[in-house]
Parts: sequence; C-alpha cells; structure tokens
Amino acid sequence: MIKNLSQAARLMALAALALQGAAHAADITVVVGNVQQGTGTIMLGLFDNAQSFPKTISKGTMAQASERDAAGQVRLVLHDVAPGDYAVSAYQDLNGDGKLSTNMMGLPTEPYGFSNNARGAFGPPAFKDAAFTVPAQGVTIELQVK
Amino acid sequence: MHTPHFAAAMARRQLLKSLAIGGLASVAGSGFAADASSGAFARSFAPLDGALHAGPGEGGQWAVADIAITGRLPEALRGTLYRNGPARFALGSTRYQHWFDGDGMVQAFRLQGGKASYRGQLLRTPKLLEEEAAGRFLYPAFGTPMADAAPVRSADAVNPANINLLPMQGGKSLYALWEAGSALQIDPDTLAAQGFKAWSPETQGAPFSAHPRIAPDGTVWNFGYSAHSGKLIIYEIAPGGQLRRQTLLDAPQADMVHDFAITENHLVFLLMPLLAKPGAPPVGSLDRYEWQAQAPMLVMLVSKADFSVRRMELPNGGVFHIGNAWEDKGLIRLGYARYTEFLPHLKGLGLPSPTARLDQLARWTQVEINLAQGTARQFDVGLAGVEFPRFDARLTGQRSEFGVLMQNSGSAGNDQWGMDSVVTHSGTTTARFRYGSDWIAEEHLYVPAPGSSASASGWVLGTALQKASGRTTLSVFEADAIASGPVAQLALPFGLPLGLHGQFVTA
Repeated sequence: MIKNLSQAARLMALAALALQGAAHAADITVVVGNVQQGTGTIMLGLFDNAQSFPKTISKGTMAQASERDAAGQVRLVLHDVAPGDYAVSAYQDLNGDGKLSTNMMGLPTEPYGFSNNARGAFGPPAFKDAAFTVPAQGVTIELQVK
Repeated sequence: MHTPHFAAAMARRQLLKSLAIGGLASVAGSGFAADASSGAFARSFAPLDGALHAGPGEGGQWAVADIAITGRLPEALRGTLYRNGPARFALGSTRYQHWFDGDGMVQAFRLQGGKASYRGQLLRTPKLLEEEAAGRFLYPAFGTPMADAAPVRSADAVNPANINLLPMQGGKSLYALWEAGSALQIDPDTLAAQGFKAWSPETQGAPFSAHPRIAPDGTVWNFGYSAHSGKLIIYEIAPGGQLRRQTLLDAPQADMVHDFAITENHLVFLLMPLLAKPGAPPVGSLDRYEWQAQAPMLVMLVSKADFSVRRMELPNGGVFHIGNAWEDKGLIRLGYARYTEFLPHLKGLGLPSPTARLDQLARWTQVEINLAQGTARQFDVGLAGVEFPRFDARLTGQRSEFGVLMQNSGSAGNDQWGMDSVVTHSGTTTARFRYGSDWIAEEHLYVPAPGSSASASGWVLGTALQKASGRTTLSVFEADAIASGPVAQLALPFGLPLGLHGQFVTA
C-alpha cells in the first residue's frame, strides 16, 4: 500500500513534470518554402513581442539550403518555446555573411519572408500581421522566402 | 545650307502634298471633335488591352517585314531605332489611370539599304508574368492606387521597364529602363526580356534611372533616386559594362529626379521642390507628392573626380528633361524644359483623357552656372510648349549647339494634348516642321551622318500617330532642312501605343 502510494506519488510527480514540460517546451516547426537551389543558409528568427520585432530575436536556428526537398522546402524546428504569440522571420543567406544583405538604398537583396507570409510595403510587416499563437502541444507553420 | 538634289526635292513635295490632303480629309471626315487627341491617345493602347494576345502585324506578331516607304530612305541611314513606352493599361478587371503606369513595350525599326522592317514586343518582366498568371494587375502603380493590392516586396517586383533604352557595346547589349528599379536586359534582336541587371552586389535591385549619359569615351554615367531616402546613387560604368565606381550621396529635395547631365568634370542635377509626403511608398503614389511653391530648384553639382558636391539655387520650377551640358570658360551651360506648373501637368497625364493646358507645358530654358561664384541663373529663350530634348550624342558633355525638341504649337486648340511639331534649334536659329492637328508626334532624335563631324549633318527621325487613321508613321528629315518636310515616311499598317523615349543604334 505504502509502496503503491509511493509509486502513485512518483507517478504523479512524473505527470506533473511532464505537464510542466509540455507547458514550457512546445516546438515550432517552420516549413520554409521557395528556397533557392544551391549554396547558402536559411536563417530563422523568433520574436516574442512587437517591440523587438524585427530587430532582436529571442531565439534562432539555421539550416543549410542544400537540405531543400524536391518541393523547394526546408524544415526547421524551434525547440522549447513557451505557449504564446510569436512572429518568425526567415531569410536565405546566399552570400554567407550572416546577415540579410541590402543594396545601397537599404533594400534587401536576399530572399526573405515572415510568418503568415506577411509583407510590408518596402519593409517589414507589423508584428500583429506576422503573429501566430503557439499552443502547448506545439505548431507547424509555413512561410516563403522571396 | 544643305541643297537636296532634284529627286529628293520632288519626293519631298509629293510627301508634303499627301500630308496636307490626309490632314484635310481627316478633319472633314471626323468632324474634328475637341477631344480628338485624347481619344487617339487612349485608342493607341487599346490593342494591348487584356491578356497577352496576338499582334496586328504579320503572323499575329507586332511585326512588318517590309514597311511601305513614301519618298526615299537615305542609303547611309543604317541601324535600328528602338523606342520604349508604357503600353498595356488594362488586365482583367483592373485598369491603370496614368500614362506612366503601363507595362513597357519596345518597338524596333530596322533601316538597311533603303528598306525598313518593324518589330515590337511587350516586355515579359517578372511583374507582367505574375500579373498575367493572376489575370489582373496586382500592385499599385505610380498614378493608380489598386484595391486589394499585393504588398510591394521590392522595386523590381513592380518594375515595368517602360521609359527608355540603353544600348551598350555598339548595340550588342541593350537594356530597357525604368527609374525606380533595375535595368532590364533585353535581346537586341528578338527584344525578349533576359532579366534584371545587377551592376554590383551593393546596387542589386537599386534604382537605375532612365536617362543615363554616355560620355564620348563610352563611359556610362547614371544615378538612382528613391523618394524619402534623401540620397542619390551614382554609377560610373565602363564601356564594356563593368561598374567602375558607385557611391551614395546626400541629396535633399531628390524625391523625383528623372534626368541629369554630365560635363567634362561634373554631373549636374536639377532637383525640383517636389516632395513625397511622409508615409508614401518609395515607388509610386502620385497623389502623395506635394509642390513647395516657395522653395527654389536646387542645382547639385557633383565632381566626377572625387564626388564632392556643391549646391546653388534657381527659381522655383519643375523639370523632367535636360539637354546637353558643357563647360565653357568657368561656366557650365545647359538647357532644360522648365515647368512652372509641374504637378498639375504631371497629374494631367492621365488615362483615358490626358489634359494639357498650354500654359502648363514646359518652356526651353538655358542655364548658366558660374563655378567661381557658385551661382546659377537662367534665361527663357522663347520656345514654349516643348519637351523631349535631344542633341548630338557624340558630343555628350561637350559644346553642342544643335538640338531637337518636340512642340505643341497650340494650333490644335488650347486643351489638345500632344506634340504636333518637331523643332531643331542651333544658337538663336530655329526650324520647324508641323505635322498638323491630325497628328500626335512622339520624340524625334538626331542621327549624325556617318563619317561627318559637321553639326546638323545627318537626319532627324521620329514617329507620329495619325489620329484619324490610328496608324503610326516613322518620318526621316534632313537635319539641316527640317522645315522642308520629311524625305521619307515609313507608314505602318497599324498604330503603336504612344511611347516615351528612343535610341538609335547605328549598324
């Protein structure tokens, strides 16, 4: 009985841990489409508030463009994200300089995109237009870099 | 003075007679409505309306293998006249409202051995292909807001390549130019679009204006502006196409800069007080431009050597086009087509009916910049209703007196849109050929006679649309005897969309 209680307690503790884990460790799977063939890296950034968007990422990941599948898509995962509202930016770093290259007028010269495929006129969209909700069980989103 | 031989004189007289008769007949036949010009303007674009489809020429193309010639096409005039202009204004349920908005179309007249052929091509830009697939225009244009518009991700996503052309390497390479995005490389023979040109990684997708200037040594100078940026990009490109230098200059009052000029040592900009209101996108939005009636026109002089900048002032005024400029004993001299009502004129260039009060049109104005004093002044030389200045391109940046202008003589009525005359000028001497009120004449340019360095030795040629027939004719004049009328006219059996600028590539 005690043994059983102890087992129950351990199970409950595990369950609580699991629940806690689920609450704080959702994954965002981002399917980036329209990836150009060849060299370069897909750079992904996560933003958790409008103030930092689109300058300061709260989390990031990257993948080689050579991982592109037949449909021109690369799949990246942002791990351990607390449920809430987020926006994602992506660009294909064609020249490998680790940043979104721009021309002399400051306009991007590498393919880029945002969650919801939100687009601004000659600039980034508003955070609210790119925002999506991450539930406890995680989410898969698609966006295109252009 | 050039003396034409007897046969040419005869042909000229016959031609003049046929022009006069054609003009009278059309006046009698049409009843000559007050809106004849604007009706002809809109009708010239109608054959391009809708999805891509067959042309009116041979084999369903925009093509004529052997154009009917009246008069005699000079044997020595060999080469290709390329012209560009906005051409397609309607797609699906969407329709542009301003002349500058249409998808670009290039026309090529090839002259060889006294014969001539024609070919035209609507340019397959990424914008055109995307909108063609969608069955409607997707993006806002310069003078047309678009309901449910797609966001503009870059200038080249909306680049119609519809203003001018830049031939390089003797015509082996050819670019169709807009002014807010990249140059579009096109095949000089088939006119097929080959993709946007990046002169360097730093200028990829950046504005490359529609009026580059080619120095006598083949160096191509150009600039790019972007509303709100307060900057001008400067390009110096070697004759072979390699970018030599690029720089970014501070340039207040550079929200719409269509043209510039070069001299031996300088680049010359006339920056008009036309400001894009805050919040307006860098491409387009005519309705968000504001004229600063109290502000001067700024002259911005850029040293070719070190890109250092000097500024001076001219009276308030507007400008699209500048003629040649040159240095003359401590002065820089240039001419430009000056507007005192620039914004009303620009807004009047709408579809379907452009309006142009004569007092809104430009006057030919000469500028004198004193380099030592850092001052500029200007003189009105008494030529009103003018546009499309051209000069001897061999003398770009050097003294050249001979020039060509188009003129609205006003004789067709004060509200008649369109040029009806071609004017040559040299010093204080002018000569004029008036097509007549049944014609809308497009830009005419000067082609020097091969091997001759004499001023005005050669030809002036250009297209004109006859309102009554709706057909386009290319006319060739002796440059020093324009008032005698054309020595040859090449009449297409159909009309072309009224366009903007052309370049002649000598064969």
